[in-house]
Amino acid sequence: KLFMTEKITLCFLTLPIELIYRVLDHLDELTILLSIRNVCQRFNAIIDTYYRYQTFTSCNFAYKQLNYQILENLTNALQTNTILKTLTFNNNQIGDENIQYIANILRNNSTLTTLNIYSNQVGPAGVFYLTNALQNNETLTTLDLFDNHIGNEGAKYFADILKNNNTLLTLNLPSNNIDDEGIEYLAKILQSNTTLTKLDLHQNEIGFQGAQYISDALQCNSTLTILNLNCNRIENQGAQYLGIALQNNKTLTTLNLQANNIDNQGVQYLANALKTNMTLMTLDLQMNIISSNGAQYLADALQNNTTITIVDLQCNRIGDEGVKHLANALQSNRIIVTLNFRSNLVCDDGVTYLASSLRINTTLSKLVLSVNQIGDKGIESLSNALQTNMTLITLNLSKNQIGSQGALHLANGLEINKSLATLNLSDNHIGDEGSQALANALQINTTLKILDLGTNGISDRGAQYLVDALQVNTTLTTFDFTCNKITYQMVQYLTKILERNSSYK
Amino acid sequence: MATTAEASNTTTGNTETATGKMIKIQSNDGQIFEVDQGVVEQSSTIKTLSDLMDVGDVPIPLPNVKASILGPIVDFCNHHKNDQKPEPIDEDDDDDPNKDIYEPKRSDDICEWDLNFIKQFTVPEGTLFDIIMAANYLGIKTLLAVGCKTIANMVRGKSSTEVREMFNISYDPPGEGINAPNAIEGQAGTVPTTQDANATGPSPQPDPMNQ
Repeated sequence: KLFMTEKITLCFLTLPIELIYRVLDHLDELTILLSIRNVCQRFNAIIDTYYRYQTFTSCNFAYKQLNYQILENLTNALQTNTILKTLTFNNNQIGDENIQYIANILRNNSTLTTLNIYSNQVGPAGVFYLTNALQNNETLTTLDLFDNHIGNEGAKYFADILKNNNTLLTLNLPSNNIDDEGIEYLAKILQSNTTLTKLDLHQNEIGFQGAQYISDALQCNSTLTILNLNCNRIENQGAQYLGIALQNNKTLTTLNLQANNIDNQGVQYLANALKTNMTLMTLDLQMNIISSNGAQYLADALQNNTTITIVDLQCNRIGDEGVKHLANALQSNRIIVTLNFRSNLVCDDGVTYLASSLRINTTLSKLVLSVNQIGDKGIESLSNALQTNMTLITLNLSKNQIGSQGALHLANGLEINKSLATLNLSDNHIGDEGSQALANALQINTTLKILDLGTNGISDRGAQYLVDALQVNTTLTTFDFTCNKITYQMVQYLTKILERNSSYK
Repeated sequence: MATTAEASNTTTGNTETATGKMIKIQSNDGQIFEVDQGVVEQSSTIKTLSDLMDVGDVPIPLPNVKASILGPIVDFCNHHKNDQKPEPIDEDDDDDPNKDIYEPKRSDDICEWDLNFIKQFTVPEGTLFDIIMAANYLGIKTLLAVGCKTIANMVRGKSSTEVREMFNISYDPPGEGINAPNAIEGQAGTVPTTQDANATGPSPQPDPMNQ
């Protein structure tokens, strides 16, 4: 007997579609794109109907050592792709020459919305190719070039493209050697651009002059909502320009000014603006040189402000006096949700001021007081406040000087409090006594979900109280007790009982 | 005419495993192989047919498999018949859409015996695809997985051009030959490239198929 089928030599191409799917099941997305895509029409048709391919909306090619050949294949493979929305190429040393492949992807594609090209040695020439490709693109909304060296020339190319582009919503150019000259190009365009909502320029070399250009732009611009200027050289003079902008701008909601060498003088300019500004919600002044006077200016402005929800002053030196001013503001302020006083030389007195405001305030939900010098006395007043306060959800007291007595006070607070869900007490020295007190509170408390007692000199004795408490307590699901003197076996007990709690959720 | 495959002899004395009943299967070129229940259990097709037909001494015809492929398959099944049965991993339920569908399955877990086994089947002779088709037809999940993993391993790291060369796939222009888009329902990949004439520099060389 002769069968006709025996005459045909089988090949990969003639396998039935289900079997080719079977092979594809074993391949990652990059291989499917680089090796199978564009082998032939039939494979393309099969890939297009393959269920995993239809979910390739986001491809991450970070750290893949993409050379020009791979990039070329990828460009070809993506030519007919209509599924990808996010492409990430971070850390591939792509460089200006090879960025052209990515530019070509942009040119041919009409579905991509996000392109991330972090740390790829892209210079002005590379930006030229990219912006050239963006000229006719109407889908890309987010472009991130963090940590390249596009410089002022690159900024100019972006300024040119922003003249006509009505699609780009987010442009991130942090750490790119852009100084005041580059900012001038971008700022000029921002005066007329009506689509960009987020601009990240942190870690560049923007000085007060650049701040002036930005200020001029912000006074006309009515679309930008988030502006990140962290780690530049804005200084007081720049803060003055930005203050003028904030008095007139009606759209910006977030302004990041971390590490800009701004002192009380600069804060005064910004604070004055906040008395009239009605849109800013987040003011980030981390790592500047703000002391109690600066805090007072801010407090005065915040007293009646109705938009700022997040005040981040971490790593300044406002001290107890500064906290006192801001605590006073909290008595009338009805909008602040997050206060961050991490590393601000706050002692017991400062916390006592805050505690009296917490009895009245009904909006603050997160208070960060880590890395200060708060002792048991301060904790006592805070704990008393916790007995009446019903809005605070997160309290961070890490790295202070809280001993067993402080833990006892906190336990008293926790027995009555019904709002706190996260408490961080790591890096204190509550010891076994403190552990016992908190364990007792946990038998009553039913709201705390996350507790951090890492680095507190707790031994198995203290841990045993906690194990016992957790037999009763079923709400605590995340409990950090690392860096104590707890033996492996006790750690096992604790872990097991916490797993039980988590499984209830 | 019919010769009994050597492989089946290796297990005929294996009576204490209660796999006593021997079954005959016949390739499409007329060769008959005698296999025990341990082999039958691994092939859903043979199992179904043997249950259905209650064949007795009549060989079950397998019209889609020739002897040169069926012989090695019997070897494969004989080798694996004492494997631990519960193998819930991977290849089960390829129809189950909810089973970690977005992650690629492993293909670096082919055991050494299987690696050597699959080496005798090649791309130029087409036998690698014969064995995959046969495994699929006979419903031998483990063998089908070995075949598919082998192809996946061959493809990984290659460019589409290299894959074309490796599997001797000639590129035919759209609409012609077996590569025609209508070879399967639903078209794709027919959009021509729109290389921008203004593209500067050494623009990427488009793939031939997209020209």
